[in-house]
Amino acid sequence: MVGQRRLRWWAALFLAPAVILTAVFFYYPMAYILWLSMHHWNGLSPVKPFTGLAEFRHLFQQPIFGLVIRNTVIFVVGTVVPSITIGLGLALLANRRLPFRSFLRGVSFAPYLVSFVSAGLAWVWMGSSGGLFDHLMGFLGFHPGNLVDNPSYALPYVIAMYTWKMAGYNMVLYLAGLQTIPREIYEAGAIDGLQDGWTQFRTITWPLLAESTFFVVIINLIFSFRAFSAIYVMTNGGPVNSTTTLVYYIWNLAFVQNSWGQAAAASALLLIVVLALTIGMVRYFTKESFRAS
Amino acid sequence: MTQRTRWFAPIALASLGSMVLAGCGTSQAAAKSSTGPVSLTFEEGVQSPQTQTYLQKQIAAFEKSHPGIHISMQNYGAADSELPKLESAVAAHDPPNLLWIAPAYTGQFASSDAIVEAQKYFKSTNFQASSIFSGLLQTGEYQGKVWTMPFDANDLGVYYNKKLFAKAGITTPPATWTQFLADAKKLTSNGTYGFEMPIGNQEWTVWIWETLLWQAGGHLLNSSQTKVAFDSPAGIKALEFWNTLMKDHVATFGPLNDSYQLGAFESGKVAMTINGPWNVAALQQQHAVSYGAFPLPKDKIAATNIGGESLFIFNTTPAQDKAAFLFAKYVTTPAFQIGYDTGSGYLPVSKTAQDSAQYQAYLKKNPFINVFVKAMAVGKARPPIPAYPQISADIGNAIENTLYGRMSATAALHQASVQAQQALDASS
Amino acid sequence: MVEATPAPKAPISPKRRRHAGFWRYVPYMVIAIVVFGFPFYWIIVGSLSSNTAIATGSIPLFPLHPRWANYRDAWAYTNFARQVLNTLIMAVAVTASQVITSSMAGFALARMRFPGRQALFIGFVATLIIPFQVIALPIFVLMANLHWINTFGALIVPTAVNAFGIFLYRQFFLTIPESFEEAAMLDGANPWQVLWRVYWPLAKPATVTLSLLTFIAEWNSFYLPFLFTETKSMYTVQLGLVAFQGEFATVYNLLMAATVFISIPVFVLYLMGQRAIIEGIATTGTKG
Repeated sequence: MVGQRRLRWWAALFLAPAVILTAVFFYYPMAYILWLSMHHWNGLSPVKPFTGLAEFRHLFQQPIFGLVIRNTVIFVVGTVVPSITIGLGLALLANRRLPFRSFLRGVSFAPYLVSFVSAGLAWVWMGSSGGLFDHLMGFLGFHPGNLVDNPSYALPYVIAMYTWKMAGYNMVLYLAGLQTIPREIYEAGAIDGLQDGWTQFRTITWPLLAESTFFVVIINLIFSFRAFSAIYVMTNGGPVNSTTTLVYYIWNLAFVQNSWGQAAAASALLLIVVLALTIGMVRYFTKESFRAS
Repeated sequence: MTQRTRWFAPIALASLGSMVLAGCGTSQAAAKSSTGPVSLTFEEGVQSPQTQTYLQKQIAAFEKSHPGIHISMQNYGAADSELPKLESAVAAHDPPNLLWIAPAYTGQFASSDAIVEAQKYFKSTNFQASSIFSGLLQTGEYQGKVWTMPFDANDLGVYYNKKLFAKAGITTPPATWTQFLADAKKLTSNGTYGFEMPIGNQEWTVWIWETLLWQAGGHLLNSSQTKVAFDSPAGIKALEFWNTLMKDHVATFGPLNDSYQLGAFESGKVAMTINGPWNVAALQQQHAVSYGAFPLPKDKIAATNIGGESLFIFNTTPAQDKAAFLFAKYVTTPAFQIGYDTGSGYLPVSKTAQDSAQYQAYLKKNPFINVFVKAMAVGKARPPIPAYPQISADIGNAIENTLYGRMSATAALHQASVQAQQALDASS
Repeated sequence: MVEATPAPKAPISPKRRRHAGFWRYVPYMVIAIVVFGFPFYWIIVGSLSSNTAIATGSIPLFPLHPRWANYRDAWAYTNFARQVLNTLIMAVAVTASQVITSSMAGFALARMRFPGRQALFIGFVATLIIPFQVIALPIFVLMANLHWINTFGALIVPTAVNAFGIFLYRQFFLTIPESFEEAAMLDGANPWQVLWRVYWPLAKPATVTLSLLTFIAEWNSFYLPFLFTETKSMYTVQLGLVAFQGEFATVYNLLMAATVFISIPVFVLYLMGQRAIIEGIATTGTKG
């Protein structure tokens, strides 16, 4: 048998690649972002003077900053709530012994598989003037024209595309959760007179899915905060910045406007928001049931 | 940055062992440090494959006449999306020797010591700066010296659909804003619009709008380039004019941030659109629309915006810098320019090339191009100052806010000028 | 709905209940299939339409005269072959790296005792939440200083580790009885040999899952290659698609054709490894 001490050396060896890469590509950048947010830098200059909180102040003074925060909140809430609700609905449907249910699963999961670039392009076309949605809405006597070029419709439209893409993913997560609920519980419930579907869902299914829901909410929040490609491809953050969310704004500040200090400040803000989520994430992944099976 | 990262990365790599490194790239730095014959890297964003081929041939010719210099060329894709990364790569001291890009970025690179001042080679290489159009040479000036060398030129004019003009009974193209508005009204009928309005808050829209600012007698900056000046009666008038075209429903928006694309014009949905000479080959290939061009209409004065690309010579070794300049010099000669321009639709950078019999014959066959050549006489250029990208972004937001009816032209320009002034102050 | 204790007040046979349920849920099924499936059908129809049909918005519901030439044209217009090769190199290298780094770390976290084990695990898992856009700027500066911009190094090394993979292997190794390890140790094997000869072969399902999910994610990834490449010769497929849009924004038939052929490999992988992919996603959600 290998001795305790030697075993530690082995452990260190096994962990070295992952630890070093994680340190270099996650923790060092996080520290660097916080450092850079307190310095002025145009991305080119060799000097980065210390400016304290001035970059944050400049960021808050940007006339579009309020709009960016508003867009981000609308986008995150607007994508997370419906994609989870629809995902749950799909899971309940696909969990029944209905014909074509595997077809249903496959079809609703398919959007998750294609890239945001592909899906974004397809939706740009479907939302163009004379495109699919223009026609469909025409039946209702309403001609919205080009959806992504309209400041009132662009954000809801990007949200719709994003929901379409993510609902199937949530369905998979919920299906796994549903399969852990023993059938006997429903049968016992039926004895107690809980027969109608809604009551059954409210009193049995939903409470037993609480753990799944917790995870689904967190993972969806993470995904939504990250959404960049869809916005880049569909709207470039426009029109009139109506689809500029925080991550898009960070990119724009750094690479288009060369305001790396402000971009770092905006990144630091986002970092603080997601750190709050991290606590929940860590608690979930370290819970008892994951320790040993 | 930093001892720490340099120290970390090799260990990260070493611990990954051989598995990852199979595909790791070759650094350009290696090529540069070689002695003896000079190897240069040249990055360009030329779109058309024919022009690419021409460039390759010309590079071969240059290498033949300059033994000891070798140039390898790479394409960086669409300039608008690539520029941000190029700048940042330059910040990290990993640039190509020669970069083909808009001269508007001269100040940014020059102020950070990334590029070499071209002017310092003029005497020693016997380069006649006077052979280049002076307006073009100025687009590459920073603090009174020429830093970047013109490669090709272009400017803006109006494309029009001849059939729709005839149908509307318009015999002479509009020469003033008033006539332009009146004609746009005549050209608008069910499903067809008189004018395609460029839209988006990126450079394309701003580049076009600046011509209106100048036509109305306005300026982007004051003469000492210390104050932004577009928040003026002329600026408001220019923005209001576009707003009127939209409000009167005689113009329709182009594709958001992609308004340089010609889809609507080529399908006859819009009668007029503002664009440059470089689409000549694409226009010749389509047969749906009989097209022509006329100069941008004037208000107080006539003006167009000079564009095109210049060669940026990045700081490397003295031998490479000089070799890079020799190529930049070669590009300005008629031997290069005439073939390049007649193939691409770009305009010559030198009088000698433009006046050559060969090019004049080309113009005779292509009156479309001639409109743009003539317009160069009233061309102005964007100030190549470091803060230009931010100022442009602010103006872009003002244009969108106004045309989408979110703000009045006055309020939008005022807000933009406050922001732009801050950026200008921060960069100086 | 197995033969359960007969519910006293509900003498409906399981068969009839299923039948009744079916008709009740048909409308929902139809709506779901149309909403999620029709766009795919429509993309294919669009990719086979003529440009005139697209421009005038008069696309027939069924492509009676499919223009297969669209696919040839879309392929020819850009350098997709080169982009496919670049993407393959990136995706294979990242996948291999992640499998190796994850199984090693997962093994140490599951089977070895050392101080700070739990803290380290938390340290890995916490990275799952960090949006790449937040740390992208420093990584960009780092890559640039290493002269790695526009090389495969920048496309591969920053994503060579993935906390999800570490978690996946750790969970899997936890389920393997200790007797395996002990038997191998008695034969004189060191931990390195135990991992690669005993544990790793047993963890094949985890490897398949991680490989498929990572490969698909790399094939589809946009932001990282978007920042870290410069010349067209280093473009990946998604960048190529965006560049294609930049040049042909409104030529939707060619755009849709390109979209279709770029998505094909992902669907092929999904059909091949459906179970592993679904289980991989589900594992994180519910195991326990």
